[in-house]
Amino acid sequence: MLANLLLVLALAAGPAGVYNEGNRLYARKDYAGAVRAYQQALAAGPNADAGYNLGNAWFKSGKIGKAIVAYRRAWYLEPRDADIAANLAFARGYRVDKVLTLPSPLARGLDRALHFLSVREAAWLAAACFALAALSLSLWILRRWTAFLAAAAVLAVLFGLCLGSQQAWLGEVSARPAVVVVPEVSAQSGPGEEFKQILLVHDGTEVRVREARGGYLLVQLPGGSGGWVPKDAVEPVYPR
Amino acid sequence: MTRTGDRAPRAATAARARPARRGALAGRRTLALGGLAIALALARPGGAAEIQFTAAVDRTTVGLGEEFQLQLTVQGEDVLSVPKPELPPLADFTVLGSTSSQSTNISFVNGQVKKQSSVVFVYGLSAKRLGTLVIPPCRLSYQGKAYETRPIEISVVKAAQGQARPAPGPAPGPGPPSASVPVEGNLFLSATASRKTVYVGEPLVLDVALCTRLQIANGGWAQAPAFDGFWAEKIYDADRFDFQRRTLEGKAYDVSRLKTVALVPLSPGELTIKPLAFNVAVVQPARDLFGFFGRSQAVRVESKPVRIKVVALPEAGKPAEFTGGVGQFTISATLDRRASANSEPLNLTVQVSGRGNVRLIEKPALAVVPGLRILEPEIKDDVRATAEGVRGTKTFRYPVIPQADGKYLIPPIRIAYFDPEARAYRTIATAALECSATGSAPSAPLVEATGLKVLGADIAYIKADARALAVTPLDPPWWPNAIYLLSLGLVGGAVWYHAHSQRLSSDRGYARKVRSSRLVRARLRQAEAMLRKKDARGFYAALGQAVMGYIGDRYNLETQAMTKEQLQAELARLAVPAETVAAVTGIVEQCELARFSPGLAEIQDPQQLFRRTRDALAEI
Repeated sequence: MLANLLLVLALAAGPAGVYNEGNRLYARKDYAGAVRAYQQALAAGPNADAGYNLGNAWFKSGKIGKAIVAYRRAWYLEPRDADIAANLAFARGYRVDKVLTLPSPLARGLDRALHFLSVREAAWLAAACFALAALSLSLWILRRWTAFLAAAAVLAVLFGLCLGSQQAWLGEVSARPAVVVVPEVSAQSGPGEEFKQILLVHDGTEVRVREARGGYLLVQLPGGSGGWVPKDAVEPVYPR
Repeated sequence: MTRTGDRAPRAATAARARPARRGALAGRRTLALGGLAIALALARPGGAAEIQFTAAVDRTTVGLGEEFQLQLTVQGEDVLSVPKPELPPLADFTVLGSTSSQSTNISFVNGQVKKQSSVVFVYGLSAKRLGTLVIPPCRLSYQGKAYETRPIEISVVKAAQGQARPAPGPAPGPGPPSASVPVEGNLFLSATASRKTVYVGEPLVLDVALCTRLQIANGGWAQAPAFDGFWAEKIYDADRFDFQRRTLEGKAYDVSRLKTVALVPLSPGELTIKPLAFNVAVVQPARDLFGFFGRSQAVRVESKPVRIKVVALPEAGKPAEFTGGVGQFTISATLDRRASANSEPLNLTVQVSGRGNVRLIEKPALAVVPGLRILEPEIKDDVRATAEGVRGTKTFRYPVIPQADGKYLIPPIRIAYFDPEARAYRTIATAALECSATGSAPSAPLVEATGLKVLGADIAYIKADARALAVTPLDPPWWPNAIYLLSLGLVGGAVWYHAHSQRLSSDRGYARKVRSSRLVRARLRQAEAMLRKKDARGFYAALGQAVMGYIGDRYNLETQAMTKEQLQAELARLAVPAETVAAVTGIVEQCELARFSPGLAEIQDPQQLFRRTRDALAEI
């Protein structure tokens, strides 16, 4: 009751006020109140810090799946933030279902390199590199100084890397990742209760949504197996 | 009189048309009530102190050599001093022993004290041969009078037959009926719920009993009792009849409890306990005193449906920790050890005990303790259902595996339940538990290598307060696309400019053409300046030069040395439209005329000529 009143008061101070109020509730170990506050702060729009703190509050409330969703959203905005990466890995360690297939070190290295920049940074840098490459090329055309051509080539390579990073992020979003947010749910062979249960998945398991039909989603696990689960059992990382 | 049946009681002998006095026999021998037979003889009346002298046996069918009892009863106002009766000669029987007892009963009837005494002499007898034997009359002399009982017939059979007993102990009905009794109204199955309105999850007790005024031989469920929509917990299941006398709606019934269950409704709404069906074999007694015993008649009895109103638990104020319990509970938590070495699992046992739907309580949510991995619990329940309700304990045993060394505090574990008596939710919590772990695998090498002591692991703390919270859109911005277009335009422009400057330096005609408009504008401005200075001669010279220069630059011709005719011919060759050619040559002609004949210069309108020239040059 008191927490709600404080939230109402903090609302007057805008999202930052609600966020700060959430921090106070978190410090007092009122994690449910903190979750509400951070959610209100995020209603204004995505923010990495608020998302990260929301993940912490969910984790402390024992909701591993919700915490993973919040951390992944924060990671999307701030992929180089060490706290977000650490807590995401920590929360993943508490899952009941273990990862079925581990990617090779090379694939993980490439993945980290492609996700070094956030999607906005990648888009910004790609455009800047392209513009500078075009400028260098133009100067080379007019002045024929080799240095300009070399600069144009380097900038073109940088542009390619940034574009690759941007595409990696877009691919990540279009893969429609989702996280199981209920303690336990059985995946069925069809979109309905009457179908055979084929898989039991637990809180925090990360899946890909491949199809939606009625109140059911066809989800796929990293290993390739999957099934239909009720819509409410999973939460998409990137809501559309 | 030989009888083959042995189920129903019967009067073996009735003397002097007086009904048998069962009261005198009640309680003396209960083992063989069903096979009781009595013989009664009333003393002949005489004198003031009238007494009754009767004889009875506990069975009229006995096995050979089997003990049975002969009871001689003396009743009267003051018979305690009565002598022992003399037994007749019993040639066919052996007297095994005798005993006697006395009782006195004082009652007040219409203000008068009435004293009744009785003395019972019991003889143990056994038969010596098969067949129908007779116990001759017994005699008694008292206060100068002689009394005599009636003879009693005993049929002696082989031992096993004489011992036959009714199977599941049906008690006698309310007095042996003397005629066939209708089943209707005298036999029914009652199903009684302890409560008609309950909350979801709140147990109620259902009693099912067989109520009868008839004789029941045996019985069994027609179909297994089902309680749809309820969780049923057995309290009592009868394996034999145990009839108790009760008065229901003014009538005396023998009631035997068949089944008692605790029922826990699982969903709200109007629930109905469907009729339960029980099959009984009713023994219809003999048509008359000496007729055949009744056959047993199979009867199916059904209970009435019982309607239960199940109220949903209130949504208002339902705590997040609610785990489905309805009743009154307590919670406790224990750890089997306080310390774990080498990542050995500890056992965290949470027990919820109390009264209510213990079995339906779900596991409590445990807070995440960083550094401790708490696995799914092993769940056991120990439930005792009694007529007072359902009590029990539900035990959740969580294996706890430390992930890192350190001291841990497991915070209080909370559950909420609904208290139907208080009509409110209650939250209960355990005490916080402490434990410690040493030698956990992952952190051990770190301790040795760096000298750091790792005490535990936790998530990184939240980000600090913010002055303003910037919104970062999820989608990439649109403006890089504009930059891409502009950059492509820049490169295109560079390529064009490069080609342009190359041509300017190599192609003279192109260079003259590119320069022509700039030059003609300069010459026209010069002509305009002359006009403003009223220098008519200069004006016409400049105007003519502008036209000829422009034509030369535009078509790459050496016009300075050309005559009017040459110019006309060149322009026609270059396919310049005829009217343009005419206009241009007209202007050139006029300029020359004005330059060389000064008088004409004043007559003509130089302003109009200037405009014509500008328009004509724009045409080219």
